[in-house]
Amino acid sequence: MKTKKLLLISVLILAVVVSGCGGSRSTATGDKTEPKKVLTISWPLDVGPLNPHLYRPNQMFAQDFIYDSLVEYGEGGAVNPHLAESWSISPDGKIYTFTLRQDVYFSDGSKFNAQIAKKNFDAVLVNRERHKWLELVNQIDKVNAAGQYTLEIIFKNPYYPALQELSLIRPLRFLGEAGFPEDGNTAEGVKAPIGTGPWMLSEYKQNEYAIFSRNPYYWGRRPKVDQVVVKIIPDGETRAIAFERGDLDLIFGSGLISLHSFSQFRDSGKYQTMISGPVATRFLAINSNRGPTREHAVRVALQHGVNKQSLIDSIFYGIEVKADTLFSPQVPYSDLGLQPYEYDAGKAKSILESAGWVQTAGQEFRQKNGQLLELDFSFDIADDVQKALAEALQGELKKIGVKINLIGEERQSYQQRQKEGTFNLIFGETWGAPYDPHSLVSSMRVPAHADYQAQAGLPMKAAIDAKITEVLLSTDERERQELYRYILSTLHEQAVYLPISYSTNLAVFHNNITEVLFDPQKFRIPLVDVDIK
Amino acid sequence: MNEQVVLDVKDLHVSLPSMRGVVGAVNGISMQITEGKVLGLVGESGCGKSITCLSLLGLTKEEGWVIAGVAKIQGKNLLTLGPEEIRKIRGKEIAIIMQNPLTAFNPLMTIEQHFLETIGSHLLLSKKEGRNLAGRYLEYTGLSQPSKLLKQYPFQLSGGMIQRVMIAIALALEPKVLIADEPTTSLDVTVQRQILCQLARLKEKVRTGILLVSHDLGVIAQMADEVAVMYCGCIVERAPVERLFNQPLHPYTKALMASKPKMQKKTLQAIGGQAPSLLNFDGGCPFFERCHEKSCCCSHYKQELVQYDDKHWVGCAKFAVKQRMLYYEPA
Amino acid sequence: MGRFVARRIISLVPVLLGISLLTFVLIHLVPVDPAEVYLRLSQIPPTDEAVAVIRAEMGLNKPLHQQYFDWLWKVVHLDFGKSFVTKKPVMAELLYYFPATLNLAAASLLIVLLISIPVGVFSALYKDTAFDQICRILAFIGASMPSFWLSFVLIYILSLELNLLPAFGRGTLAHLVLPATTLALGAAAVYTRLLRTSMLENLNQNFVLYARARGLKEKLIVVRHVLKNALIPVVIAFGMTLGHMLAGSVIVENVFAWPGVGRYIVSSIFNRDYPVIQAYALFMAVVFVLLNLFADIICATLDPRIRLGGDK
Repeated sequence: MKTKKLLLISVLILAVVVSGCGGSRSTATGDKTEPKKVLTISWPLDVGPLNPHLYRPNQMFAQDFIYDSLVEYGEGGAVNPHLAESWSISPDGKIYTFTLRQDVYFSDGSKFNAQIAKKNFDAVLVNRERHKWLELVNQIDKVNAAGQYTLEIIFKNPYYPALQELSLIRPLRFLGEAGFPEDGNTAEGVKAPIGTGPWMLSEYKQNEYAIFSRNPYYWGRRPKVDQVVVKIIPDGETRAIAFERGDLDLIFGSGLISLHSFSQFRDSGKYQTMISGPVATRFLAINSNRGPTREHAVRVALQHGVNKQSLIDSIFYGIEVKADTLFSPQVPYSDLGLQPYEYDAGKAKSILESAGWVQTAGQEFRQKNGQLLELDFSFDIADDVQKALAEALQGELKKIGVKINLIGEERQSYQQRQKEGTFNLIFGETWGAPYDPHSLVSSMRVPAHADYQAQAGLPMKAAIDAKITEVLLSTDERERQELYRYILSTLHEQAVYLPISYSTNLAVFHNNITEVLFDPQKFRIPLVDVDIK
Repeated sequence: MNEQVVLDVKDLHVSLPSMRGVVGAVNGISMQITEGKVLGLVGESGCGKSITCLSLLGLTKEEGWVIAGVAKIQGKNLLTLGPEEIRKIRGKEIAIIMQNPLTAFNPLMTIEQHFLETIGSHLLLSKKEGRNLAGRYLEYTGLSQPSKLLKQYPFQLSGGMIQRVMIAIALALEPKVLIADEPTTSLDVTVQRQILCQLARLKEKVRTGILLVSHDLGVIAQMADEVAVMYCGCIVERAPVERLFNQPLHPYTKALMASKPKMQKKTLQAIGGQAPSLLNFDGGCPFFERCHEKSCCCSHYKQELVQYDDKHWVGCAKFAVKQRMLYYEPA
Repeated sequence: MGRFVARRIISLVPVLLGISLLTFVLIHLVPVDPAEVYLRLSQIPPTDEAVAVIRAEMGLNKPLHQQYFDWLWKVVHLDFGKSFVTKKPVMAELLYYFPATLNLAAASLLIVLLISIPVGVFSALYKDTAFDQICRILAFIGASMPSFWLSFVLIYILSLELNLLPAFGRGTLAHLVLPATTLALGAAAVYTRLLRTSMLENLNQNFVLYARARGLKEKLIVVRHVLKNALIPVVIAFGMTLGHMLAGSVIVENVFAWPGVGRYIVSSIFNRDYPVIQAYALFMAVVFVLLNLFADIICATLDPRIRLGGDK
């Protein structure tokens, strides 16, 4: 009957649609003669258009695969040659002259030289507005190709962190000629992701996978594996299971799997796990310009009142490292021997007592002149780690009689609060290499930043700001060391920062994967030396 | 007489055991359906008429009905047949037409589909032959344009038309027995008359024996050859139609006749009291409580149909002369 | 029938216009300036000058009704603008991700049908037997299982421990099994019960008694009389469920790394990518309306009372 026919047709349509799924996964192109060594990793987001000069949605690790920088950032802030063999800086610190390598080719076979390097710089400088966050770009006046392999960068002012910042993954890396659009403006997009790096993109299915093959023209050490397959897996638990199944060879990076999963992998003994050295500092900024935290004594008491190690053990499974200073001693200019504020609840209480904050019997919190020792703690409600830490800290500080109002807000409102300074405690994180310490320190001068707001109540704030400006312009290494010593020690003594932990980078891999190493820059995934046995 | 008995029901009991006891819906009735003749089964609502019809064909809905007795058709006892055997009889040997015909049809299927599936369950005919058969019987029931009608859906037809379709479906397979359960109850009077005339004519043509169940005395009077009066699951009187109407014997029958609305009287004469509960029916006189003519021996009377006259049977203590007097002996 | 369909399609037009108006208005009710959001997402500092430039570009300074008509005009030409984040045309992106979601939804629906029809029918026919009781318990469990929990249980058992199926991704038919099953089980539980109730209602109907009285075989009665009638409310409900599945079963798509619309829209919502959110809202509303229409048409096909207009 009619109905039967209709039902049949519907079923057929369904069947067709269902089967329409097959065939979307195609095997990698390339020679099928020898067995390939393929390393499979994963990432939660699509790699993006792979434009070297732009940001989201481009993923940094992928940009790093394809594009090289002029120089590389090494341990302890050392700057090493990369595409630039050597360089010299003029005495006034405003002209940097780079001698480029002569044996570098792009993945399409075209040559890398000062002309194409200049073209890349110009493409970035044309869109200064977009790169305003990076002081390096603000300070570059213009770029010249002084010879075929000589590149000159002219600065408006001396800017000592220039070399460190030139090692960044973006925006100052180099695209081959064929990748530029007609008008040379990469802000609209690139025609093809052609770089000088060890890998090139050979296959791509948006939001499913991206396959990188060895760049046949690469000037550096030949990568040991033939291909890197990046599978896009948004969920961390799925990633962990995929790794266990053997679908993934390596998990590299922080935030890719939960710390719980990581600790399970570590404890199982079936896999290799690695934890890097300190990457960035997780801290609380304490507002010296508002409420009870105006008092130095209160801020110092807070420093002594927090048991950081227990926080790290419970929230971070002991994977992060306790931080006693704003920057870890490995960060340039930060090995100052500053005296840590050790955890001592008794000491905290007595400091508060002496300052007049008393806790009468039967009351939970301290008071002074009728005012409750009450602090507003602002955090981003979407961030689970911040939430967990805030709640834990609330409990800790209650023990010394401090009342914490937890204010968990949506990102926009949270950022608004930072700008206006309507907080007593707020989370912050340093940027890591190669930005530490200069980028965070530089931003302390900007009123729209939480750091400025937190420091605004310090009597020597103006002096600090002046010294920060000086250090960025200074051309003398010793002078810089003295200035940083002043800045960082003062901030430490004033207790405006409560450093909690140093975040770390993580890696988990199967036993047949070798030579996995961390890079000082948090977002790089160095795979050139990684091998599969 | 060359009239054959097509369905012979003897001592049919239908009861439902429950927690409080056994509910006796049908308590030992016997009747015979003769070829070409109409047996009218009359009684008030709840007296067990519908249950009788359903239980004969094994169509009782709820679980737990206990059916006992004998209902012979073509030498077989309906009440002991297996599911497949009784399925073959339903619709083919014994057809039924129901009250509320509109709800009896599947609203999603055409008339033709109803016909064809009925025919197809019993006979091996091609679709074309089936359609022809359907068309023929629709014409017999007085419906015009049968081919158009076949393509229509039940909700598109009026009550009268649907009832005729039901009759057509019932008779198309030329059953020996047609059970008509309140066939005209949901119809208005003019249509009622038409349907009954149709039925009478078809009865002649197809020579089916009809069991006509109704609570409407007018319908019974018009159609039946013989009438059985039912009360509380028992048949209390059975007689040819004129006899029953002219000379009712059982007090219940008399009360029924008296309660017919008369043009002269302004008020309706009802039967006083209420029907007794059917729970744990003990076989005594069901009308005892409400009877105006009861006597002392009625309380010991056991319900039983006794022949009063040629073809006139009655189950009342008054006419149970020979028996029961024995009970009167002081123990 | 044709007339019925035509009538229903024409009645869609005011509905779609209403939806477009609602979508347009809702986006403009958001307190944040879309120009500012755009700049932030492009990592350009949202200074007042930059915001003014972008506002002019986006036509945000025109009167509201003018903006609506401009937008509507573009929408009719299927131009939903460009994503703030990827700068690609939104329509193209939606169309890129939609087939995967359609695929998943269709497979889930098939599984729902395969489970709920037999189980629902037999639960009704064998009412109150052990089979019926067990199915009832399973249905309650199935309806209460949260999909993220269920997805991981299935992955853990079938993919990790037994290694029968892949854990994530899209590719072969095997990749489709786990996500489609996760999506289907909750719905299947509900539909099993729905069908059972519907069947029981129909089994009690007079026309079933009449069908038996005419001597029809029991199997024929169940399939042709009872099941067909019982399916009508189920079909109507399916329209809604399919709509939900198409809206992007976000959790399933995230866990199984299924490249569908659900994942895409969630990240767009987090990013406040307004062109995408707007296009998606409109797109999904249209899909729902069309699915409803489709369900209505199927019901009209099955039930003549609907398409021929009730009693005479």
